[in-house]
Amino acid sequence: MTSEPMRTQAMDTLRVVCYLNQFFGQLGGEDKAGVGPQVVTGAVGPARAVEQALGAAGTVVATVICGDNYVAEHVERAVGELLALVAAQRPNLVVAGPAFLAGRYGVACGALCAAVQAELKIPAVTGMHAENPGVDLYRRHVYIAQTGAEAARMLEEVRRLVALGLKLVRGESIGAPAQEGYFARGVTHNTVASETGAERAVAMLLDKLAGRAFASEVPLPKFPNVPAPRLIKTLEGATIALVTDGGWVPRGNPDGIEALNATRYGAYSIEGKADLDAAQYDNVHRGYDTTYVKQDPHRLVPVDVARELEQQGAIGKLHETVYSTVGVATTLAHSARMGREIAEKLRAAGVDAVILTST
Amino acid sequence: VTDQQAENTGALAVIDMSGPAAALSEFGRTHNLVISAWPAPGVGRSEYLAAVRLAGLKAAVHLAQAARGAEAERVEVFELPSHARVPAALAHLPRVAYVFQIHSHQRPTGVDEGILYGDPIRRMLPTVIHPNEILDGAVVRGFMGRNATTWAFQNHPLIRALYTRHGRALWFAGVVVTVAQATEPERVRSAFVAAGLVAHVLGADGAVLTKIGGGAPHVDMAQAAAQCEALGVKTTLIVEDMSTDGSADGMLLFNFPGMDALVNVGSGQEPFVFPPMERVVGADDQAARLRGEMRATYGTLCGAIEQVGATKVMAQVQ
Repeated sequence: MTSEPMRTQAMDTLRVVCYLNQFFGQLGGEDKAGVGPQVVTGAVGPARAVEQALGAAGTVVATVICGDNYVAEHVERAVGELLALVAAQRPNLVVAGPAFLAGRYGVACGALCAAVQAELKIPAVTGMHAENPGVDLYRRHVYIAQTGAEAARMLEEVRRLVALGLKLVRGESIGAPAQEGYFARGVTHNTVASETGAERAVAMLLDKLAGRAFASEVPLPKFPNVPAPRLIKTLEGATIALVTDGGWVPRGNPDGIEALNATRYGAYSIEGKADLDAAQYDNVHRGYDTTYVKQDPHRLVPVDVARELEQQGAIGKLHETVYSTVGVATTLAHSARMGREIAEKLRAAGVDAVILTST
Repeated sequence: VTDQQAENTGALAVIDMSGPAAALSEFGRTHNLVISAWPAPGVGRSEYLAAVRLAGLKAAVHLAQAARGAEAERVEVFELPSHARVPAALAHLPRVAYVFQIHSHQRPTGVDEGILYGDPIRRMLPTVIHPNEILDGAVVRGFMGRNATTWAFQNHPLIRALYTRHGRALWFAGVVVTVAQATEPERVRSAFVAAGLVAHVLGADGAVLTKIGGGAPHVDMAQAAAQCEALGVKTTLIVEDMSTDGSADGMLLFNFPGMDALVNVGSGQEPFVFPPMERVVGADDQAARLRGEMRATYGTLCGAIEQVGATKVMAQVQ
């Protein structure tokens, strides 16, 4: 029901490692921003606030410090070196920052936390101001507590950070972002609300009708607006390709395109074909009634009409490869990747325009 | 009623009567009678599904007859006069309609697949019916209705929620039943007809919309809502979390401006671990699995995710 605990084990006192930049690690200001990774036993600077917030629950066994520029200039190498220093301490939890509005520091905290979780399989938390570039870069992978722009309320903010970290270590359920004070990671989890969906819907409508504030339970999508490119050539001189997400495949589905939640697409030649023989094709889409497109695949992939237009000279040429996938319950990430890959191949083949048939 | 031919034995398969999932579904609190009937050799898929469903309905009637003459523990009155007869003193209340998508034609609907008064509504246009007809059992879930149960329709949570506030916070203007269509021209026509009934026949100020089935019905509902909004009717939609990878980006399959009031009833695809159960009743083929820990999804748990908003499960963006 909740996010899976990264590690749950019986522990009396947790071993915590803190990460700080050169400034908060008390090595110096901008003049020391180039210093490499180093480790100090126990808590330094803000790590003392972590120690205090932990109370009896844990101890800061070490503070790892690194200059902002050192990380910014060689991220991979720096994170690798920091990871080795952290791992040597055998921690149960890593607390990075808080980085407030410091950009390089925020990115370093995010990168280290993400690496700690992926490589060491232990939870890591950090804290930043909403405008820190590290938030957008790492919020999906790392719990980032919201902080002010500056270290004005350090102890209070560190307490929230530590509370979040302790919940993760213990495998306890994490509440809503607004309630726990972290940046939404963009993942969804089923929870139990105080009213039924029906009650909430009627209450929300009454609020909307009365002009009162209401909170939608689904964030509105922020899809970028893609302007349709202009065709520079005339159609008579253009090469046109057919692409579909309607599940058209050669019989036997040679590429194993999934019936839903697709991660694959196929490229199928229509060279030498004036039209499509229904007996040679199938349809694996599980999101609509495919009876009619199985009867006659041209209803989805109009090779017959496109060939006629090609013969008449209405279009310059029909591209000899048709790209096909299944567009049902496909994740946004896979859709974007497949679209990008297909577009690159079409462009490399000199295709000028695409007829995309969807369902 | 169980489907002994189901390809996906995961959907709505399990009722938890005592474990941690019992609280998530109404069926954890009801007395449940399970009918498992196997098809005779040579019986077609649609015939079989129609037969087992009829068996379920007949069993329900027999059970109800056994209670005939017993004294009711509780009496609730659902009284809604003709929408033309609003008392003048209550004319100021916002008029709220419910647009109930009762079936989806995204898969071929069987000739025996009775949905509305036993009709497979293969050519139905949006229709106004009295909400009490739904409470009285006019609508039955289709064979493939994901995250929907006939029980939820007959105890319709949204109709009940509207009745509860009727005459106080709102005037319940009525119900329009719709079908999610298979083609774009039908979808557009359905959206226009439904919105016209809501705005011009029922004279509603606001409408709640729900859907049945998967992605296409989700968009179908949004198109109808967009048309309602275009006619000045404010809308709230009940959606399920459609994401297949647990990302908030994938929760929604439409992006209409102004569609800003969405309630979600959770994700049927989120993993759910059923702890080992000592006693498993029915479904002999599944019993061995259920006696051990079973890794499945919320959609496996019958009645946890209900498209019409019967439960408190919701997907929270974290």
